Amino acid sequence: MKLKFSSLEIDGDLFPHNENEIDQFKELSFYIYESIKEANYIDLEIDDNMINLLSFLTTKLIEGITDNMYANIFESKGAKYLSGDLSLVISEILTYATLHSLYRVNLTNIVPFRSVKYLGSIVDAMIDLSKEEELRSKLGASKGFLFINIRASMTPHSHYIVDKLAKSLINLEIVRYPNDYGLVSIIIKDNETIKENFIFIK
Amino acid sequence: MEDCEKISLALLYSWVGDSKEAREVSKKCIENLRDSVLKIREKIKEVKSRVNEEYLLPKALREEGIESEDLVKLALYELSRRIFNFSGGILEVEQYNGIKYIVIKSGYKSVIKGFCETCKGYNIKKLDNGYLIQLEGIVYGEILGSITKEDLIKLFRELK
Repeated sequence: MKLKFSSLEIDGDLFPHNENEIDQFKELSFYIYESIKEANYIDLEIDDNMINLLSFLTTKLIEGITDNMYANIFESKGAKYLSGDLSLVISEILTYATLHSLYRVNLTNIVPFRSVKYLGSIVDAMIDLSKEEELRSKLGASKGFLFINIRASMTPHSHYIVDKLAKSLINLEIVRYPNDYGLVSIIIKDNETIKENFIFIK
Repeated sequence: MEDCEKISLALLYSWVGDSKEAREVSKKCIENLRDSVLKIREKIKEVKSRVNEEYLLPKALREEGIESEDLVKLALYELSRRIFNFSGGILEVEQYNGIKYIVIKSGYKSVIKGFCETCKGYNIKKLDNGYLIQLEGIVYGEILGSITKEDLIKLFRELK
């Protein structure tokens, strides 16, 4: 599975947290959207053989994702609707696979929380950084948690992505603020390519 | 929280069909967190009803003493509770030399899911009619048609 990958880092202090500030998550999300649109993407190849294996971490009870991936990404859908469950699972798998391929994250150190997100105080997944050396050095961290939110968009349209991004960031801040680390993984289907953006918040 | 560090293993156990083990891991986590979670829940509820704007919530929670770790505890508790309550019936999970595995036969193909505590790294076996992969102890394979137990064990030996 070939992807276009890019990542950027944001200082967590940029987000408004105090009463004397105004809610500017939408505006910030728009800036982020603008920069990922113009970002330099690198080619990333995910080992197809590990995709079905990662289904132990996903939220929905769907298996055999590789069989469905092709139809979801490349085939013209005609009158059919894209399956939301499927794009959710694909985005989760691609995010975890990327974390493993690029930062050698041990898969059993990922704690997926999406199935309990209804609590309103947690994100899609979490990694304890004390167990992950490579990720720690990438973030310049000595300890703490990395909180992950995963968003998939089947269209590259701005209003859609900006909205999702803003919600993800607010949600992330609830659990990350002030000293931990955050990651929003945005998977965008742009025609027949899949673009993956990692936005790290420090 | 130490008992909960293995919660992803519970997900893996239920993935290979070992509900019993999954329940045991999640039960430990539930018992460990039960007392602290009540207080955290109440505090969050109280802060949420007081704060009108969502973007002010992070700071308000910290000021009331709810740290990131507390929110993680609550989520771990809820996740364990779900695993404990919703783990399915006990399936026939087989074991070979530290590898727990299940073979799911679905007509034209067999899917193998397994978990091997002593396996490390990455290993893949490509066959004429399928493949078997081991990644950090997680085993997955798809084979067209069926496979005998002896042949599967032979493959497992090569995966280590």
